[in-house]
Amino acid sequence: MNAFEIAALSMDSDMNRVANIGQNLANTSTPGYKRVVQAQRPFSAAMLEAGAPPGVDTGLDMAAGALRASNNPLDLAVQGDGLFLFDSADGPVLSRQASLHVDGQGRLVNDAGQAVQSDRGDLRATPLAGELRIDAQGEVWQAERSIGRLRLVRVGDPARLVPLGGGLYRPSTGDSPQPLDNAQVLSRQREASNVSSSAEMVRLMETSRHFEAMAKVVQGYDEAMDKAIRKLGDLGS
Amino acid sequence: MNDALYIAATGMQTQQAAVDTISNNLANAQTPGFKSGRVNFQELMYRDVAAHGANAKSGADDAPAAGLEQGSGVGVASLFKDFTAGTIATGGGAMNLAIKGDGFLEVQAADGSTAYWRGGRLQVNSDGWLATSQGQVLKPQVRVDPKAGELVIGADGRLSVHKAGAADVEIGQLTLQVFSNPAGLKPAGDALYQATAASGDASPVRATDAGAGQLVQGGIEQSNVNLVDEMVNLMMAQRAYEMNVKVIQTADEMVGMSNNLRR
Repeated sequence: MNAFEIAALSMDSDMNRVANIGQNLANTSTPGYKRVVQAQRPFSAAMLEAGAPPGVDTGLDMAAGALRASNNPLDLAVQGDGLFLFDSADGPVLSRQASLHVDGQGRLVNDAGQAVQSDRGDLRATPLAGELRIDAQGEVWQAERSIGRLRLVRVGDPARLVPLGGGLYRPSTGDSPQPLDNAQVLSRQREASNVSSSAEMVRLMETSRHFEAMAKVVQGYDEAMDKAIRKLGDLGS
Repeated sequence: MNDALYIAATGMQTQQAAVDTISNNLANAQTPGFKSGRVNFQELMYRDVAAHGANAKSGADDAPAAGLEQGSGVGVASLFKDFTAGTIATGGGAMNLAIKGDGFLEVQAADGSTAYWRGGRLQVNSDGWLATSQGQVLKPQVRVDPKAGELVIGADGRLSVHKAGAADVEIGQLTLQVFSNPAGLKPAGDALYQATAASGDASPVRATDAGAGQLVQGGIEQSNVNLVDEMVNLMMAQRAYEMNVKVIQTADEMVGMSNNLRR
């Protein structure tokens, strides 16, 4: 690989990095959003491993965001590494937070209309039977009657969850969700985005400067090549 | 290559939607019966972008091929109304009606469709029907004769006419309608709402029954806008907008630099 190729790859990965920083900054006010982090694979690995140029690995930073109080008892957050389980057309999906509402059929669903899963399957509220309440153990009560207990799960490596958008995730292949029994559910709380805007702005500056430096490498190498060609050309005359 | 530009643009658009909603809430902070709007954000679809050399790797590896999960920004997940009750101020006169609780009154909108009303000022229209101050007739229809005496609305929705020195005469009954998901109702202006698939169908209940609430004659439901929360949200939205602008500037500079590689 010559300096041109190396610098070009580097600039390309900087562009991707800026797109990811942009994605994080665009979602500073999205509840339950988890920051995308990039890890640059070491350059030496790329040199040794023929055909695998330096690239970037992305993962999720699953650190908990700050909790924001809300006045809706169906806004739920979970303490620790638990995840809520929803039923979608393409199989189960997971989420760190649940802003539930009762849909037209009386089911408890999230914003995407997917039913939250409990030990009794979909949760159904009876109209007019009283207010819904969820306790710390995830038991859902309507007036004084329990209508089910939320199923909470955990995965082996949360950083490898596949984001689907809308705060929903699909477990990565070979990492099936395991039931989690002692998770604590917090009602009337929403988990804020875990993006720190100042840290992202710093990364943005850093990346744009790195890009600039790489651009200089290309220009410098170009000049050197130019000089070399001219000097070598002089020999002939 | 220019994903960052488009991602940051979605950020600006959604923050703009947030500012629009906040300004509508603030403009209606003094509108009786107004329910504040809320914007719900969500991150948009992710797509797999193969990293450099990812396809050169042997497929036998059980670890997922190193790929970039590139998001495509942020969008508005839902715009909905917060139906938290506003404070009910009393002393508004006999023709004011508020609902303490979750119910709605059914009215006939100008185009003949059914709409739902959270209460407000009543009037007797020129044909003698009890209607909202905007002229929508209440359903079931009640004929009120203003000369017969004073209109009395009971907490349970019973309508009667009171005249000094005579027994009250019952003239009708108001029924409340409740929804399984009121946040899914569609605002139709004039403090009216329309049922949607998200809200479910209205189910009639008698006022004072469990969950339906009761009627308060002379009550005026204040707007449920919380000024402090709205101002904080406004500041947050403005700063978030600013951040997205910075991303656009940076991405633009980077593209400019690469265009100037060849001098």
